[in-house]
Amino acid sequence: MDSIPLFQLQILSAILFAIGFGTVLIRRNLFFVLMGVELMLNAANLSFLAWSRVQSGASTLEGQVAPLFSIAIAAAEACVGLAMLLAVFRSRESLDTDAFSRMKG
Amino acid sequence: MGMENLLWLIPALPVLGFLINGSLSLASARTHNGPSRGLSGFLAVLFPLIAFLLVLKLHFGLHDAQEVVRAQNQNLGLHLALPQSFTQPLWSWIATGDINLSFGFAFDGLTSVMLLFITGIGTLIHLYSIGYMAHDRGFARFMAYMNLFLANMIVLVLGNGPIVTFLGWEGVGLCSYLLIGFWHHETANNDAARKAFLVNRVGDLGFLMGLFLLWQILGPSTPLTYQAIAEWFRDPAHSAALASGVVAALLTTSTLLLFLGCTGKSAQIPLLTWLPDAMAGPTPVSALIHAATMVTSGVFLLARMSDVFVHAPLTMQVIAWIGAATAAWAAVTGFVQTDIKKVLAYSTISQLGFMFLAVGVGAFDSGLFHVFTHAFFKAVLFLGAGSVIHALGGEQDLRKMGGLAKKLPITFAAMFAGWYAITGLPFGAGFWSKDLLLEKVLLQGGTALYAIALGTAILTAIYMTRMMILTFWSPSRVEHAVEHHVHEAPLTMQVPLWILGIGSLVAGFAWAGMIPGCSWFPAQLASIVGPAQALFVPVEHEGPSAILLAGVGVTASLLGIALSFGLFRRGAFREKSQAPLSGFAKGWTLAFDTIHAVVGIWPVRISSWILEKICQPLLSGLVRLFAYIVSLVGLATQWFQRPRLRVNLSMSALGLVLILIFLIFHARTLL
Repeated sequence: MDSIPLFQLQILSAILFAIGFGTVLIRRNLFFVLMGVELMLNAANLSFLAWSRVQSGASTLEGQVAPLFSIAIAAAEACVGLAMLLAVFRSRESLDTDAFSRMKG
Repeated sequence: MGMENLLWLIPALPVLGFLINGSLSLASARTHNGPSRGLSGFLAVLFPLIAFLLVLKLHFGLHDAQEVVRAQNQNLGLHLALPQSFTQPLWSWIATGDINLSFGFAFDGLTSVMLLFITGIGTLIHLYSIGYMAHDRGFARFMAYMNLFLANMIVLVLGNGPIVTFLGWEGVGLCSYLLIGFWHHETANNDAARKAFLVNRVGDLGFLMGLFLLWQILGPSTPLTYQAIAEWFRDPAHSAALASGVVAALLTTSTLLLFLGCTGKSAQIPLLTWLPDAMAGPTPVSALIHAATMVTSGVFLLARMSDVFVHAPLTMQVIAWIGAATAAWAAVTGFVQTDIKKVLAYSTISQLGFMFLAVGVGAFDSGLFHVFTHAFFKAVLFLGAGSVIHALGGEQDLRKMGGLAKKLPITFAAMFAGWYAITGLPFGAGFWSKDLLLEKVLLQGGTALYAIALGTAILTAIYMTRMMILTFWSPSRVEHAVEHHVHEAPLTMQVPLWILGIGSLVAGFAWAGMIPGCSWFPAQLASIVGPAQALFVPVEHEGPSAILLAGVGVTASLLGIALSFGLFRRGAFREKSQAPLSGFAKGWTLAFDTIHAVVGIWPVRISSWILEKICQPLLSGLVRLFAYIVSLVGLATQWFQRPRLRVNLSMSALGLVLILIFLIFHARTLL
């Protein structure tokens, strides 16, 4: 199988990241904000993997191990995030980020 | 323990007295009477007395050390140098780079002479103060200040270099300020104290700048001790450098600035106005600080640095002429004063002028000899005046005195001795020192200076005799209410009067030029001012004989006394009017105040006006402008600080992007 060139993979990763970040910025619903964050994490994972393919020796492994960590942590983060989201929704009856300004200094 | 290890004790003892009396004064601040007069007076006299005994011991110790070496030289045929001083380096004060300033004391012939009369007369005046200040609530505070003054004066004289001297120099200025304004409930006293302090600051600035310039000439690696400075200037290897234009100009500037410091401390033209005002302080203060010791420190400094000053002939000329001018000016002013202490104050300025005149013509030792004898007779005159003021219940106006000779016999006898000495009548202290001084002035300074000095000697006799007549001999003009209470002073005040009165008659024999063997004084100073004086060749080698000059001096005194008796015998000549000074007398007195106002005070006032009315609004406007800009920026950026997650996030993303862009384009320059 012909390998996809590094450059194209990086561009893809950047596009994914931008979409994720855009989602975080644009959507007011906390669900979508969390989804945007997941997308950004996976964009970074893709970038890691793409880089690992052009490396040689031990660096190849490092490039593949880092995404594994990242996925595991992202799973934990999703758990906590969704739990908090539920708690917030119960107390506020809303998922609008702009509505949460009680902690302003 | 070697003698030199005792040096630090001399200033430490009065400091101890200051601490104890100061604590007593503070601790008893809330009580009605203050601490026991007996205790605090005893302590105040005890420590200076021990210091005096210590100085005596060191004086003879130095003499013995020299004798030992001299005997060795004779017996073994050696040529060892005689020890000229005890030195005690205490600690390194400032050590940085080339500069290494040590703090230490040095005790040599000059120091020993100065310290003998500073601690000796100081002790007597402390004793006198017990009686004079007995009824004052601030007794302990007064004694504390006096002890502190003595300690500072000792540091001034005992310091091993000009920097240590400067420490004492500032210290005595502070104590002078504290004691002039001792009776601080009256504004006039506080004004006088501030004036003394400020005028002295001008001189002190000169001292410091002169010192730094001098250090520049010597090079920073020369340790700034009198010993090193003298050796540097005595070294023939440096004579070529001293002759070069730049160094000579620097040296002249430096010595002139140092001399400015001396004029401030010693009340010479142009910085003399503070001393008459300083008479606002209690009389013992006037006697100790403003007559016997502090005001002579200018002459002391010149003698200490004689090796420097002789290499600046222009400065020496300036010193001589300023000394002569001050002597004459102050003598004329003394002539029209109506306050007994003011007469003595101007007399002090005049006598200090004599000393500077002698120093200026290169006769350092005879200038210092006049310092020595003057300390005795001016102290006794001031203390006598204090006794008169005490007897009259605070009256200082000569026009309200008279006929006191019979009522105050002891005071009269003491002041008579002082008067006898200052007018220069035969064999009194002033006779020996003033005639020697006049002789040196004639031989080394020329006839013009001699004429001024001789004229001043006549004036001195006139105004001093006038003071004596108006106080003691003329018909009594004392107010009736006061007259009943006139009483002789208590014993503590009489003893110093006796001792100093006798001193002012016999002190001159320390250097009675005409009597062989009476040359203790110049022998003490030979090693310090000798090399400098050797550079001065008399203008006329074949001057008139010393006897003839002494005859001229005595004739001048007698002439002045006779004139004075003719003028003031009945207390006439302005003394009938009770009005304050006006017209000529006032203008003459205040001439230098006017000059100070024009030269010093008005420029400051004008510039302060400019600063207040023009610069201050401009600057504050500028400050407000910046503050306004900052608050505007704050208002504008407030919008970004809203509690909106998406705004905050986009702002941080924007910031990150900007940083990345900057790094990309400037990575090369940063690395």
